[in-house]
Amino acid sequence: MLYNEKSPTEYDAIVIGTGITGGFAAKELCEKGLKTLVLDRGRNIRHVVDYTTANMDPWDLENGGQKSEAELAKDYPKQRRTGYTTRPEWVHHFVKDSEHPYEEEKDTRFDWIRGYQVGGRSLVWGRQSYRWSEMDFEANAKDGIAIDWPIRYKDVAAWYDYVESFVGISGMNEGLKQLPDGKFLAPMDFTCVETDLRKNMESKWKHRRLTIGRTAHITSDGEKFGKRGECQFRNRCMRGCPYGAYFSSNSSTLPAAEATGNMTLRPDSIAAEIMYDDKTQKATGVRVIDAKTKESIEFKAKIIFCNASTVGSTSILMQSKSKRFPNGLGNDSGELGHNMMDHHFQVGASADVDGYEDKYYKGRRPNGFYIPRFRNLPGHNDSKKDFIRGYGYQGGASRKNWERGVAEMGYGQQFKEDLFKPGPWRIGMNGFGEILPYHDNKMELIDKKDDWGLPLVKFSTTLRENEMKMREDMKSAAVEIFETAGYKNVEPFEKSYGVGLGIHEMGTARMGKDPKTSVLNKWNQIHSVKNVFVTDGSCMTSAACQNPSLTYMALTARAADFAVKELKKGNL
Amino acid sequence: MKRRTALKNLSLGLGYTMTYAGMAAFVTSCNADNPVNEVASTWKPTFLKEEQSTMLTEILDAMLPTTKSSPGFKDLNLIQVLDNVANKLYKKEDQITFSAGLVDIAAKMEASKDINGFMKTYMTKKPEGEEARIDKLIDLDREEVAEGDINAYNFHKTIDSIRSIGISAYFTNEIIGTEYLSYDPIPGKYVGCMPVSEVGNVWAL
Repeated sequence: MLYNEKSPTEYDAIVIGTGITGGFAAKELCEKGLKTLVLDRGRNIRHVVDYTTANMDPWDLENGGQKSEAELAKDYPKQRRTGYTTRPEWVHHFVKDSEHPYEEEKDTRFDWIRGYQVGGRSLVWGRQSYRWSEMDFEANAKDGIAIDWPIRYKDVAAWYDYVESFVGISGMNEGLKQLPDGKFLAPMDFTCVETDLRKNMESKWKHRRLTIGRTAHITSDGEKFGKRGECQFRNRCMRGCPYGAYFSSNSSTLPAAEATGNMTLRPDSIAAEIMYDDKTQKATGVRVIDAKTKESIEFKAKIIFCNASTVGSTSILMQSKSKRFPNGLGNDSGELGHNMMDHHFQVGASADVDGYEDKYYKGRRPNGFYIPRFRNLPGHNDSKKDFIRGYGYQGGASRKNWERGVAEMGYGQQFKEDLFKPGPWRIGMNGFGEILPYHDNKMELIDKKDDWGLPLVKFSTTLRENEMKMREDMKSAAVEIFETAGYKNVEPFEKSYGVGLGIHEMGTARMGKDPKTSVLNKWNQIHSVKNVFVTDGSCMTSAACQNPSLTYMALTARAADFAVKELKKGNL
Repeated sequence: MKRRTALKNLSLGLGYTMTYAGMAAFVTSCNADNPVNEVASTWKPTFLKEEQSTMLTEILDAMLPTTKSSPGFKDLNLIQVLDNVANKLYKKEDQITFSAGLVDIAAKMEASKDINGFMKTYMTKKPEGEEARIDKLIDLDREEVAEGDINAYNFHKTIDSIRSIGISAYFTNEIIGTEYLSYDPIPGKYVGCMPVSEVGNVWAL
């Protein structure tokens, strides 16, 4: 239920944030019987009812699908860096930089792309869902980089099963060590050319595999998902799906939490700090600033899940100062704010493909193909000496449409009529690479305040040599794959990237074995404040190259299970 | 505005498809209920001069003419889209380029025997080397262009813009999208590989 004047101020649990992990924490805690206050700093977005642009065609959209230059410059100077988040179809699911500014250290760039609404970025995420492998959890220890993860794949495997089954992931198993199999619904089709490339890669390389993207859409077994429906292949996901076919907090976890009767949802609630009592060495609750009235309200709870997103959660911890924690809640190590990571991308290749003129496709697939990491895998000879870790590719092959008429200089009746027909095939792919954890890649709070009296964030992040060398390889390996397949006019590309543009920003409150070098323990508990759990991207100790949300959700479900068990034992 | 290719980013995994679509929403009430001619007579350009509006209509109607089977650029009154794009979506430096380019185009139209002469000279493919040089030039931001190249930059970038907006405006028009292309708002399922003969024209969406 929505918070109202009759709602209590004391709960069993508080969840800060309703994004992809906040929603999951809310569901888990409520389903385990806890009376839970669920906060979000943004406005409510009700599933289906509030998806205002869901069915609009291109000719229905403001300014033909683009915001005016004046508006972009004034309100979206940072959000526009993606090239797509500011489209009218879904711009209302992203913040206005003019209302939520941040700063970047001189000569550095950080692209902080986010939305402040119930559901957070689970409304607009790319839905790609891949498991980490044992290799990913071991990597820091093996490479002597940063600190070791306090967990391994075996600790999370059952939780991957659990979240995949609830979320509904479409994909196919490939038996690859570097990309564990999962619990999948029917995989989406390849286009003819993608099948061609898959076969070609299979014949040329033993362990380079092209598979279909693993994506959080219901494509079969619809009856197992309650009110959610099957994907209709409209590819209008970021607007919100009237069928509930892709996973979001709004379509999936928040309704599940609501159904228990244990959830009180309070939107427009900015968490200013987590309150701490040094006598009990526990957090007592959350002080909230109402986003609309700016009044300060204190809510109490036995346990707190901080799921405000990487930067949001770390900011809240930094704002939670006390005599015991002068540098922010749980920050004995000094690592809070440090080791910021993302996935670097915007580098790959594209090519023309001859043939298949008699073939086409039907439907708009909200997914592409995926080439899992093949670089630097133990036991394989596909390794590079000038960088460690690796990357995957995401791409697709489709037929050119009338847009080719721009470059194909021509005019007249035949020229026009030809553009009514599907054009030649084209294929492309973009690499997503791991960024190492560097202590100096960081965020901090500065003296400047926002409209609610809370400090602004300043970022200081750059790519370093390992990433730059990896990017060179991402480009040349993509070219190699397309040339080997016999495609024509193979062209590499590299577009502008700033840390954060991958919208997978993670780290800054990392997990670890030692309280001297980490903020969280192996259960996502703050080492020194055992009733506070942080399970969003901020907890990550390394980044791997796989899209991270599935891992965040698995860690959340695991931590919630532990938290409730501990609470029932009287340990919290 | 990036040149020529509307999308090179095929990373569908990011959950979006970048298209250059929907320009036709600019057209003032140009739908089935409003006769096009009525609208045409009341509309006045905001960015373009009247004679530029007329000139560009002539050029784009020659590029996308009426045929036996489908309407042309002028039939759909799409010049409004060009005017609105230049007015609302262009950065200041792009507007300067565009305006300067239009002056040059007007001079070249004047010097051409007729519209066909203009189209034959300026709207056909050049030798590959020359095309590559032009591509590279118009890919630059205005401030990066050498003084000696600025005239060529203005002209070629404007030709590119006209083609780009004109073609997009036409093919994302509601009438074209729903009645002439393959229109399927709710496909219901995805078939990745099938005969093109079962679909027909290119997908509208």
